[in-house]
Amino acid sequence: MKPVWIILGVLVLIVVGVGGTAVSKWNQLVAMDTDIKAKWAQVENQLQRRADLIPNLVEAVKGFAAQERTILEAIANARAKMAGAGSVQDRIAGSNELSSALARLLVVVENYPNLKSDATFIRLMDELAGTENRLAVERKRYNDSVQVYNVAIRQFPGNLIASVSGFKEHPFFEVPPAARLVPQVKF
Amino acid sequence: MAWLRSPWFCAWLILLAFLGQVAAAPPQVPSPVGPVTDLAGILDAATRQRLEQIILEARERTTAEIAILTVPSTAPETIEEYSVAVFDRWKIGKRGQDNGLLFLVAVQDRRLRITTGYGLEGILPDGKIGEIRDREIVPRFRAGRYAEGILRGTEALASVILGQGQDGARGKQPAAPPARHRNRFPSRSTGILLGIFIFLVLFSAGLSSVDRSAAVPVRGRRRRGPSWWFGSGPGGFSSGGFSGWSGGGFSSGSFGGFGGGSTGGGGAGGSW
Repeated sequence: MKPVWIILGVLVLIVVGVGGTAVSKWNQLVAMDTDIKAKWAQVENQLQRRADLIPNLVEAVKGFAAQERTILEAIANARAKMAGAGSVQDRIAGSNELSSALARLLVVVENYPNLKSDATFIRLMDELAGTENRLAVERKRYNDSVQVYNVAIRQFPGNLIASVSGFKEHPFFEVPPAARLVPQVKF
Repeated sequence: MAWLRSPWFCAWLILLAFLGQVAAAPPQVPSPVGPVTDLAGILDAATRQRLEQIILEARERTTAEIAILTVPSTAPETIEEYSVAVFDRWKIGKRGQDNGLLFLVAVQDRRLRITTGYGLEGILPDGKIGEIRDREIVPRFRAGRYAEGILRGTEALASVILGQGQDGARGKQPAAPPARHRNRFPSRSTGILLGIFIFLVLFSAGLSSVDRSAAVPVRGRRRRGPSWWFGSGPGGFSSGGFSGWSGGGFSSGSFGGFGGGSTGGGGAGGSW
């Protein structure tokens, strides 16, 4: 066999190898991107669940503490804003605003012993606490996926594939301390 | 045991440790010794037996799985985080139905948490669990009667599951719990296929000098050569893939482990 053929063969193999790696990397990025979207949908489920709880919660609070109008309005506004938010970033910002409004409400509630011992209110607080925990769980799963993906599209050779085929970084769902809401059910 | 000292084994340990860090080091979780794992030592033999009976009956009639865990403390994690970590590791509930339930009591923290799998959220909403907690569990816990509180609470939870279990668990399930485990990436087979593919690509590229190191990615990394071939490995596999294999320790005793269910963190808890 002439050396030309050997060189040619090696070249072909290298091209096939590089091409194969590119394809598998691309497929991997597609799978990760889809996974993140599925996880975000789970986050959305919980955001929706919380949004559905709020009117009931506001009603229950109004019955005992109607004078806390500013906080109740802040909650209603934050909820309305969230409903209008389209992009993931806007939804995250809206969710955090709503969380901090709810956190303020929970502080205020301490001043109303009648409200705190109301059976309906206790059930609603359980639902809210459960929903916040679900949200925290899905948020963590989402963030974990985003972390792996964001590294993958910045590392070689993922960065080449990503820049050619338009894979973009996904935002983390970060929660500022003011919006960290842990409704405590105390007895 | 010579294999313990082999460099390959060490290399794998290093790799695993590295992967663990990427996955943000999940909290240390005890292994289940059975449906009832009493690490705080607050259950007497009779109560424990009765609990196991109730759990077995619920499982036989509805496939739902109840797990009870008592610990002294969940520190440094909150009880909510700890519950989800235990649930994720033990995989309580039937796979696909996610009808598991974890009743966790942290005695020194004076906190309890009842966590439901996706599939039980419909018949055991958080508010209902809160009701059972207030009616059956907390008053007894306050009086220091832990075993009785756990027993009465479990009875109440099981009767809800049994009462609607036959049609309720199945009927409501498709609506409430989106089967998120189906979307989980990467599935093990994808990972293996990907691994085989990369391996074949390496082979076909004729980089014979790299072939041996390909089997041990850690070593491959150290090389100055084409280490980027392996760059995709850890990123792809780290997200949860390993927890499925290493998770468990079901070998202890005759306990066969739980069914492979998952949770979204629903449920209720509180302090007493």
